[in-house]
Amino acid sequence: MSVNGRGAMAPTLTNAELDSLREFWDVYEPQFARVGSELAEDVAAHPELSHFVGAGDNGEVAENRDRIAQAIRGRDWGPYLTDMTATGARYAEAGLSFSSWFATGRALRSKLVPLLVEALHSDPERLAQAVRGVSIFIDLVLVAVGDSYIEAKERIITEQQDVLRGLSTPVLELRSGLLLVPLIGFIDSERALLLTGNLLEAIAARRAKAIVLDITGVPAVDSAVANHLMQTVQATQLMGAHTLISGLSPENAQTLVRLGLDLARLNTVGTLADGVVAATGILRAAEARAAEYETALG
Amino acid sequence: MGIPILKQGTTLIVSLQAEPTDAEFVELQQDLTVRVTQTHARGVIIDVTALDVLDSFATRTLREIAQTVTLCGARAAIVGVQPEVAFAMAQLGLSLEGTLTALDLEDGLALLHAMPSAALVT
Repeated sequence: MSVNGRGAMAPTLTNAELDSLREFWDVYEPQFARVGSELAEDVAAHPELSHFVGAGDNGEVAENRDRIAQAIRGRDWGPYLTDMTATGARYAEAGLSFSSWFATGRALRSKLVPLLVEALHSDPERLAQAVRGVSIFIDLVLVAVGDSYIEAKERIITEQQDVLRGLSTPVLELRSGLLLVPLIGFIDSERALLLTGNLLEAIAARRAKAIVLDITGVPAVDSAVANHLMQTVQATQLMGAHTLISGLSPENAQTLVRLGLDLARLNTVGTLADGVVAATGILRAAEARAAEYETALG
Repeated sequence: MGIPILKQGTTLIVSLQAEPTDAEFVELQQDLTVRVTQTHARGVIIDVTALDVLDSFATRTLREIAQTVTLCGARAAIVGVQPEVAFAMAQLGLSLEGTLTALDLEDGLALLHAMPSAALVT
């Protein structure tokens, strides 16, 4: 028995499993509405679940029952699993914990088993089969909900990562032609690539001539980080811009020297203020050149 | 007919349209050197705005062109490297070190105008 891939796919069930499910459903179906309302009462008492799981009106209950019947009798699991998938996604988005959702599965099981015993106690073999059917049914539901729950959680995480990535490399325009990139936190290769890409786009878009890359907020600068920075600096040079690196701490400077890296191309200056002054000088020179050229053209 | 070389004042301008073949690059190098000597040009600008890739051969040839031109008494600038191209080149460790670069043709012209000719640099 397995629910392949996405939640809405039909599970592969053996004939024995289908028989078990049918045995259980024959008992459960007539009691469906009553068990549902009992469950809803229990759930209402649960601190977390009560916010998410409503009792549902009679129409919804009947629809839900028909979907299950269609799945177990008609072997068409599509509508029911689609519904469960939507439920899982809703729980994930609402921040319901996984254990709370499992608690409803447990509650359902503890309601159903006494029902089955009462109906089938004269025939132990059928009773055993029906109890197996309960397990199969609850497993299927939990897997469908769980799959989409995890999928929705992953989607949320990816979205948040995108947001964080956008935040992690802001490119600020201090004045026309002068960009400031304050780097804070650890720099890994992914972040370095993103930074380089953003910066190059910004150079093209804002016609920047000078860039100050401030690494005061970067806790550790090792050879990998230095190489990333060097690549960034070189890439900006290819576009005719000058990049200065400011805020290298004394400890990091010593580390880099001890590593024996060739840092001449890093163009480091002391503080951010020094960087801005130096960059402004570069910018002035570029502006003077442009003005001079325009005058020469007449 | 090779890649056209335009003359504007004392500057020669080459605008690369499609990615030149290796042979065209070599030809351009020769043509440019001859033209610099003939016209006593002070500057050479190679505009790569239209190129969406610069491989290692292209990069090396551009560097060589710049060096050759400098030996002939002019200055060369590569202009218009696109962000994606610069990104890819930095990734591959390709650089145009030793050559002048500018954002676009206009900046390149101003840059070369402000440069003393190579012979005057001590």
